[in-house]
Amino acid sequence: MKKIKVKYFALVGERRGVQTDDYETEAGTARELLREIEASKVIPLTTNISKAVINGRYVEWDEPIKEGDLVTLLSPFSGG
Amino acid sequence: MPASTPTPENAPAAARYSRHARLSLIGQDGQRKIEKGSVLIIGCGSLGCAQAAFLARAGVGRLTLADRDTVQAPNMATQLLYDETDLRDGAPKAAAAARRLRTINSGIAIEPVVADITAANIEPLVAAADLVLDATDNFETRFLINEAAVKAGKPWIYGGVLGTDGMAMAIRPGRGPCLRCLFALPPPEGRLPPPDVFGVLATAAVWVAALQTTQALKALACGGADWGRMHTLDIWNGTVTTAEVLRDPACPCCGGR
Repeated sequence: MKKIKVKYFALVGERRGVQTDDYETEAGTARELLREIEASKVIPLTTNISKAVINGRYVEWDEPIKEGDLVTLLSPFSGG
Repeated sequence: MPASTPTPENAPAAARYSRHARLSLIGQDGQRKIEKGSVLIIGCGSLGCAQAAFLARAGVGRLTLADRDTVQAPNMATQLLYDETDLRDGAPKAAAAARRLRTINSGIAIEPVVADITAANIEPLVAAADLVLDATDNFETRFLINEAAVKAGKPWIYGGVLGTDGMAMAIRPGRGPCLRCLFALPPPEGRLPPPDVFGVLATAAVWVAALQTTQALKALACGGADWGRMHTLDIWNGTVTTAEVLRDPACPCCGGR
């Protein structure tokens, strides 16, 4: 198990009930992490709209996750 | 009173803009460039109102404001340029915003465009501006802005808001990533919650607009901005998360251009 931190914004954070999770995961990639989180709670993120940021850089969903990473999961904001 | 008689409202630019000109990051030269600048603001909602007010007060020489909508009751909490007369009259937002901005700064050119922005009319508007500020409420229009800005080689600054959070990124076509390097396709309609359903805090919108406007002033005054870095703001908790966006060589919009 890897210990990571997961951060959310807006509706995702509201549905999840927290803005930042200290999280233990077996997920090897950002995509697997999203699937794992969705299995425990329905959140409005999909890989074709949403994005993952790992340690300050937008990444593809197949980017590996390592111990200690800060992973932000978010969708674009459309309001103006 | 003779036209040449100094009055508080027609004070020389040197006095009017002295707070900005005295900033070492802008200076007199930067302020003069701002006064020669031309900015297109697409959308006159919560973001556009705040952007336009900041830029008019900063002395940007020409502001073009585009919006198709009229002032409605739910706009009053978050859209800072409108008053109850505009609401009662159901005034077009672009025209009402221009009217209010002229009372803030009568020494700059302000052009309202009361129209839907489409592929048919966006290119001449973008071509006439030095820079475009995004204040739209949908990704279809943002993709139009991105396409027109990449085609014209003009910088533009994305901004979006939802709830108490927002995002902003300065985009410089040809040098850094464009919007489609990050989001290849617009989210399908209805997949992202709009502010009229999820709500929006006015201060979150003003924070996003302030960041976008700062990037615009930097670009006008110094030619630089924080290109290609997405700032995600959470005003409820007072945090900013910044992430680097990489240019995608296979981008459907800017790839190969």
